[in-house]
Amino acid sequence: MPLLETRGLCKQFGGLQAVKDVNLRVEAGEIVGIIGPNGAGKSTLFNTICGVYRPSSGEIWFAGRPIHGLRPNRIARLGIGRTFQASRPFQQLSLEANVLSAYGARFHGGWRAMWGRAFTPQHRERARALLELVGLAEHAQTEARHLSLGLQRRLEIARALALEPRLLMLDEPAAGISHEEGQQLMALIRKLRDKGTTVLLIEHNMQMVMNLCDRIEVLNYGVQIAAGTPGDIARHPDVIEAYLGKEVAGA
Amino acid sequence: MLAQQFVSGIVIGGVYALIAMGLTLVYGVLRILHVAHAAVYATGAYVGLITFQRTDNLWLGLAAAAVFCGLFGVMIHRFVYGPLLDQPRIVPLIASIGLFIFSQDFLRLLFGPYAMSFPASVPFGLLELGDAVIPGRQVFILAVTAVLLALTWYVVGRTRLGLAWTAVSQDAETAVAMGVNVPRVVAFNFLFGSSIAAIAGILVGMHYNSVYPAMGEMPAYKMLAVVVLGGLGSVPGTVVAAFLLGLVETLLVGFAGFVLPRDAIAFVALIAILLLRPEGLFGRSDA
Repeated sequence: MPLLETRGLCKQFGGLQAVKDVNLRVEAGEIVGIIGPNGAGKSTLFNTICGVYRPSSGEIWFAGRPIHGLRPNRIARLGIGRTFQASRPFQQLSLEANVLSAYGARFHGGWRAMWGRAFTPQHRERARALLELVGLAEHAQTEARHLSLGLQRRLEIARALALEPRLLMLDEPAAGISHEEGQQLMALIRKLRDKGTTVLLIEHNMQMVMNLCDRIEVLNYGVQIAAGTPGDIARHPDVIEAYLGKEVAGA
Repeated sequence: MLAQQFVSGIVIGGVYALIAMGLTLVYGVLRILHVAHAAVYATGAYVGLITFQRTDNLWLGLAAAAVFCGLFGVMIHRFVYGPLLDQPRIVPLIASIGLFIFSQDFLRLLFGPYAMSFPASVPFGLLELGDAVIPGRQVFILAVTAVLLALTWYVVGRTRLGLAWTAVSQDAETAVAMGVNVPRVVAFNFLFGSSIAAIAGILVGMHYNSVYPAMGEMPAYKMLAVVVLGGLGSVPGTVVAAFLLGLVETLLVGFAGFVLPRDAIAFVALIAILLLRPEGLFGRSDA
């Protein structure tokens, strides 16, 4: 049974078919990359899986249960952590509080639980461990807005990990960061996978996708045009055309 | 006399802080100016007074008002703002003003247009602090205010609810993705802010020994001045601004033979702050 599966997933905005009949399978323990030209529907697919958008049709199954139609906070608590394309930490909260905002969410279930303390020693210890994992432990009390973009992206990963997700979804984690930060990020993602987290990521940085992913799905105009190992994808004629078609035609 | 006036200003400022807190909490998460909050405050004064008249127990009055108005606040969110959240922000604002006017007149119909006295005796005697002699009622108001502000500080700064509230106020969409149940956080906010406003209503009713249907009118405007002064949505800013306004009002009117009526000061301050520092004392210009 795949950890995440979409069946005939469609998302339409008015007349625009942003995601069309996508059948995605992510097995537990994989690192799967989604690539495609700008406007291919990658982020829409992400947001539909996470519950930000309701699917127009089709189904989404996670860990053996349907999650389409659930609200995003429910989906998050079922074990899907995510980051955003434009890095979005809570700017005026400390790194520790950023992580705890998601960690505490697992306890937000009951009316009474919400009155509990957010910063218990165990919670802070856990937050510290997650910040340690992404290499930010020494900045635990700094406000997120003081971090560089690369560090903010790592903070977002730590925050998503606080949900103890089985699936981590990263939306262009390498966008706007330096080559060196990109290398560190790849090492981090591998480390997470080795600890048992499944990773689904959107990325434009081809070098990263090719090096990191076990499998790659290619979207164009909301449609899956190819899927396979990095080696398959690099040779796939439709992929080459989707990426290079215009330039070749115009040359 | 100065010390006396000072205490008086603190008393008034504390009550302003209690009233404005609900507005700040709601603005933080919904970006709505919850004008009807002042109606919740007036309703709280009435519920407290009626309960007190029936039972002769002030604590019961406080509790009844807090519970009744807490639920009133949750209902306002559920049935008035909830359906309007997709609309431009002017729509819930107009609904809020409408609800405020309606509630005021509803109180007038129920209890008559007259001021009713609030003859509660308090479990405190005169307190002498150096030059200042503080009547028992003011001691009581100060004590209740201090407890409630401490409670607010704890809830906002230390609990999961407070952390979730802060997260939602900074970026609701991201907070949802982190598993925060936003509608529930908002409902808690209304519950908490409205309960505190209800108690503030009782305290003011006791302070002036008068409860009347339009008693929410002046606080409606003043809480607006307080939250703008404090930087919209900032909890510490609200508290500081409230005490500042209470003190300035009391001291200016009591001493300087100030030419403007007392209630005008808040609005002069509001105009000045909008001209000079629109983000408020504690707001960030990027907010």
